[in-house]
Amino acid sequence: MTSILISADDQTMGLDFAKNLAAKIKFKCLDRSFLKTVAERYKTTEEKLLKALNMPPSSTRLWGKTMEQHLAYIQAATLERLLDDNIICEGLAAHFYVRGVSHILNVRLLSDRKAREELLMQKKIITLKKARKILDRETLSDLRWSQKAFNSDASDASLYDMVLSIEQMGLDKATEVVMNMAEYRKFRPMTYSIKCLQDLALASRLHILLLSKFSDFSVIADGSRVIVYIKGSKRQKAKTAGEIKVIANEIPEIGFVEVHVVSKLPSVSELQEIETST
Amino acid sequence: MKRKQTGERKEKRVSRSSINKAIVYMTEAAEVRKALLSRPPLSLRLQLGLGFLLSFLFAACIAVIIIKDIYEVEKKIRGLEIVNDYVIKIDQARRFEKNFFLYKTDLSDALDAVYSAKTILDSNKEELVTIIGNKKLHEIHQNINTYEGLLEKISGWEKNQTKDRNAKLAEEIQQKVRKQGKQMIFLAQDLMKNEKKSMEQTIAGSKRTQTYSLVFLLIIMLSITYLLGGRMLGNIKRFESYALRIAEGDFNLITPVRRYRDEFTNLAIAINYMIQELEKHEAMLVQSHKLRAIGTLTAGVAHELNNPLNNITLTSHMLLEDYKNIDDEERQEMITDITQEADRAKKIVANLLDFTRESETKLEPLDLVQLMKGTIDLAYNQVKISGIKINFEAANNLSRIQGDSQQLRQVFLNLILNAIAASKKGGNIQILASRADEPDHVVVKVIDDGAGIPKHIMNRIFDPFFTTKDRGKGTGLGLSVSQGIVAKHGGKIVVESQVGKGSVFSVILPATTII
Amino acid sequence: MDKKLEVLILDDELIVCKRLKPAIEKMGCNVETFLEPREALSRLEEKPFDIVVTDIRMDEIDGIQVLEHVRQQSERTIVIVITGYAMVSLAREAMEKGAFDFISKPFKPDEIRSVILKAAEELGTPLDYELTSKNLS
Repeated sequence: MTSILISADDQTMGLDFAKNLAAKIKFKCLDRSFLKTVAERYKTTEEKLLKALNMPPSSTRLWGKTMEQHLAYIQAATLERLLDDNIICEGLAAHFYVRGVSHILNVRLLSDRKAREELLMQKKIITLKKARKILDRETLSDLRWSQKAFNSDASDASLYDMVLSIEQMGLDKATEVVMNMAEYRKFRPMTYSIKCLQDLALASRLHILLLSKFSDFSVIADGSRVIVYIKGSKRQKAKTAGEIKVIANEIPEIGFVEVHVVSKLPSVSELQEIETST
Repeated sequence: MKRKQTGERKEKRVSRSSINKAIVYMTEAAEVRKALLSRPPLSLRLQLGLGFLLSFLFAACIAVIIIKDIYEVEKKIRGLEIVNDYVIKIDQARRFEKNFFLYKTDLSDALDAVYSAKTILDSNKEELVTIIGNKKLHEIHQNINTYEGLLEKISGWEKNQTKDRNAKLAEEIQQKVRKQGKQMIFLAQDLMKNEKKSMEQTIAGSKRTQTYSLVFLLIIMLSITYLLGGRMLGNIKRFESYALRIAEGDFNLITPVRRYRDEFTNLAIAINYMIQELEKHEAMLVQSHKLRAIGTLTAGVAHELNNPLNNITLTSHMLLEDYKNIDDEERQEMITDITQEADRAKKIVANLLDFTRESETKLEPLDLVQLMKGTIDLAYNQVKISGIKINFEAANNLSRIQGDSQQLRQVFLNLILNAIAASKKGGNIQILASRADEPDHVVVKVIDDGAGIPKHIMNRIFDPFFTTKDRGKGTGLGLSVSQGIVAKHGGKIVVESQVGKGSVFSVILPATTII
Repeated sequence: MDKKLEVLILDDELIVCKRLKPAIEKMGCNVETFLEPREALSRLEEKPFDIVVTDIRMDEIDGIQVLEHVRQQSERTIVIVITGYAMVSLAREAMEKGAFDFISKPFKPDEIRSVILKAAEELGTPLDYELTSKNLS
């Protein structure tokens, strides 16, 4: 069956929705508690992983590289988990890196802004103005984070298969809608879509390994073939390619590595095009 | 070994020439800037300032003149005032004199009056001197002194009671006094009249001066406005024409036109910089368009390649699987299939490379008529086989075009072959070369009377790999590559078609004035 | 009585037909191959097939149309789509219109064989064939 990714502008609401939905359709819910497993696997701490998911970009370069690494850990682990099917995934930024897989239903939830404001006012005993300010700041920091982490904006509707306004529909109706949508044959896994997901998982594994030595690169996989786009000078091309191939050897599933040294990395949309054509 | 070296050398030559070109262009821009700035400066601000200064000076002169006139008039009025006062006193004196002669009253009043009159003269001596002059003043003084003297004599006689002594003398003196008095008054009044006249003259003169000056000032200001305004408007119009020129794609730099430089020169330098940037950006745009086209082609090629790749994959796997179980013939067949499909893949990629090849487009002035005739000859075989007639017509004195002959030939050949493929046996193909509706452009129309292009296909015909030909008979790249070539030449391909009637492919290209 | 599964393969690439026929026949099915969609469709009118494997980009008639036609005709028939122009939108459309699976070209013979095995199971007539792991990598 389909796997469903939940993205919400209010994290608490998103988590509630995901748990509720998972219970209703008897799927497994993959949320931030998964970070514990990820931390164990990659020998790091849950805090760092959480920080990578939330921290608005600071100006220190040191954190930048660590953040990239930890996001890569989360990405690889999540993708692999998604191969198991029947997952509701929330809070792991999956909507940014699970793209082009036809049996993954990507859902965006829009919270009831007014209700949030009121809740905040009650909880923290502050004025409406202050509550709004806090929420605006949150929105801005979310945007800054997503720009830095994935060069994307979570509120970009084109990322999703459906966008639901909880304010208008209420949680229950929205859950119903998502359940119905997930039933459609459209979102059934097929050989092709499973392959796409496998490709993403493989690429993310190599991504983690390459991060130890390189930065400014993109990895695309197609079966056992992997394409790496890396920013660098053409002079260093042979050397860079050689190093990358050595690293890639550590992953037995990779058969062939193609390295492109470019002056400008392909944009997200360009990458998607390349992905669909491989 | 040698071949490799020459190849390398060639590469170096090419890159050096492009560097040289860049240096030449940069030098040109720097030279133009130097030329623009090397002229003597004559700033607009200076000119405006001078113009206003001139007007101001003129107005100032007029003001000074007016002030002077007013001053003079003021003086004259003052003079008249004094003389008037004097006359009043003398009048008084004369009245007392008359009274004395008539009623034998005291002359002391008269003398007092005279004394007052003299006081007036004395106390305003300086002013009177400036107004009426020393001579006249002296005359007046003499007059009144004489009068005073006579009066005193008479008064003395009255006092001394020696009136009988000389009645005749008394009569003489009386007459003298009267005459003197009259003369005094006359003189003073005459003086007054003169002064008044003079003042009136001054006023009239002043009025005249002011009127003329006003007119003159108006003329001066109009001339200045016309001159300066004309100058500035002229410059503005010139820059207007530059802007229009740039908008049409003429990226020639602005070169010095006048003998002086001013604020417009700074504008010219700024615009030249803008032109350079525009050119750079346009080049980037063209390049990115090309890259985008390549990107589209690449995606298309990738998909297109999936079929031969799949064929090879399936065949080679089955060959491995069934190797022992099949006979030699079948094995050979499978291997042949593999090699054929590999060839097919190669062709697909080669076609793409053809389009993307960074081949230097060699631009030179071309004669369209010759080019078309040559291309039609190339298609000779096809024409004969298909039994179609081709008719070529060209307008007289058709402008030349700037282009790469090989590439353009490829375009027209593609269109002609398409037209042949679309036509039935015995059909007609018309090729017309003429001036385009767009000014400074020429158009070549390839007209066939074939089946026409249905509407739902129309917007796909320029897509890469789109072809309506049978499998294996067309790459589908012809029209898209052609469009790319024509766009590179600054032109476009336009299609008109009607199902059942035929199609018209028009290639519009910019003309060149280079002979 | 062991009725053999009837499989129809439609692809305008001759080699696909040539190679897949023996590949699937080996599994114990009857295979008929077609290069022309029209011919395939008229054959489908004549005889019911259990499994139809079809390409998408073909001249004249689209593979999606074939898919729709087959599903309309017989809900039981399993349709497997193979194509060189795989995209998410196309994949979803095929699934929505009733495809059993969607495979992107290039694929190995064993890849489609595993799908056929799944399809046979779905139909209730599982095939007795073992995929050798060698061929699946």
